[in-house]
Amino acid sequence: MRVIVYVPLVVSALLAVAGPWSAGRMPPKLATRLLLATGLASTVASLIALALLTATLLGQVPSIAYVGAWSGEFLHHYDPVSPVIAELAGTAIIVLGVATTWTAVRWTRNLRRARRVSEGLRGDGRLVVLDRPEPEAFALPAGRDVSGRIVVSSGLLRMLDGAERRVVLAHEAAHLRHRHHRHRALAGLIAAANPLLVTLPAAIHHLTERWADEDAAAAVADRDIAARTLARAALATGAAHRRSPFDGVVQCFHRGGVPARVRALLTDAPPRRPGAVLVLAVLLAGSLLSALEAGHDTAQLFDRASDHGLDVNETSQVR
Amino acid sequence: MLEDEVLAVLWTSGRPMTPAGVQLEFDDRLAYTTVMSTLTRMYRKGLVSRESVGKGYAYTPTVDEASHTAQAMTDLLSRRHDRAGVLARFVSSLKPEDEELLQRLLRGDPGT
Repeated sequence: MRVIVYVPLVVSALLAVAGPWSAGRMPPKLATRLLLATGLASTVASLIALALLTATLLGQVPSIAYVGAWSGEFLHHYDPVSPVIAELAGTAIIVLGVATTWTAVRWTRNLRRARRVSEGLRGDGRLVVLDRPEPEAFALPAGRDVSGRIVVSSGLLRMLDGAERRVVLAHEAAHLRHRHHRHRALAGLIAAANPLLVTLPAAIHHLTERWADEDAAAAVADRDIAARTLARAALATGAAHRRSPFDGVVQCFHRGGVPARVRALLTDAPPRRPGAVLVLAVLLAGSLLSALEAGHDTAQLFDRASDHGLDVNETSQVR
Repeated sequence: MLEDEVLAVLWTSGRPMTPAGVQLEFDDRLAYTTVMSTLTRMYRKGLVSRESVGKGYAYTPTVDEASHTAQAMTDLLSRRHDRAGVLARFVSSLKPEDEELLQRLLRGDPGT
């Protein structure tokens, strides 16, 4: 209990460092899933650890000890956790809970707004063309049974040839088909509940873009064309934004970005490196096992406090 | 999806296109009857309009003239959180050094 309860927090910190390294060494689809699974596991384990740290202090509160039928005195004497740490852990749980709820509410609101826009578009075709000169393309996700929309500006379509247009359509279709907005939402929730993983949303954003790029390259069966499309669209977008008053609002907020994606397409499809997969698998297992072990230790502590409680408070027992 | 590709072709041309013209844009990957039936389906859905040309029709994409559509899109795109969380954009803007790098990559120079 003394040490093991802190392991999930250490795992989260390790994941923040090793996650991006490992993710770059496997196909983006696998990297997205593995990184999210490991992030979720270490976050749930960290929250359990914080709850266990808080529990020993809460167990000393007389009324709680009475209801739980254990000895608060015993916990006070044998608790391996200092009250300061327990108090900090309790505060952290409340703050993180509020942050996570707020993130969930904001995301739901944004998704609803996107759906309203999608429903307002005419027709039921999947592709919607905006008659505007500046190059623009994005995927607008929809509900459970409704397919989303691909929105492309006529300016972008006109600067591309047939194969390049298919790259853009296949890329955005991949976002909709794999529901990448959900992966991104989960990454946002994980980061809100576990500030150690603050870089996770940007990493997942980049990985889902890479995933869609790989799908698009497969759709035209030509990685070079996919790379060229991406580079040409990015350069045209850059030129348009320099003239636009919205410059500054439209920002690229993840490192790597388009050049990294173009470079990845210009090389062969990324192979799966067993070492990188192993690193994430070990972190995943480590966080779950340590949370389990710490929970077991805490349960034992309370068991012993219960035995003690029966001896001391025999007369005041409810049962 | 075929309808998406056909719609993209019609938008690119900028003038009414006959099924034969659309088929040409696909480098004969599609049978004439496939193009024909796709365009007819799209016409029924209201995605394209058509006018008589000779014995057949020429097709034009329907423009969403409602300005609120464009406004709604601009609103969506100008919200930082929204874009990061829900919308998946094809590309985001570039830093000047990235532009140089992309120009080099386009020219086939692997760079540093």
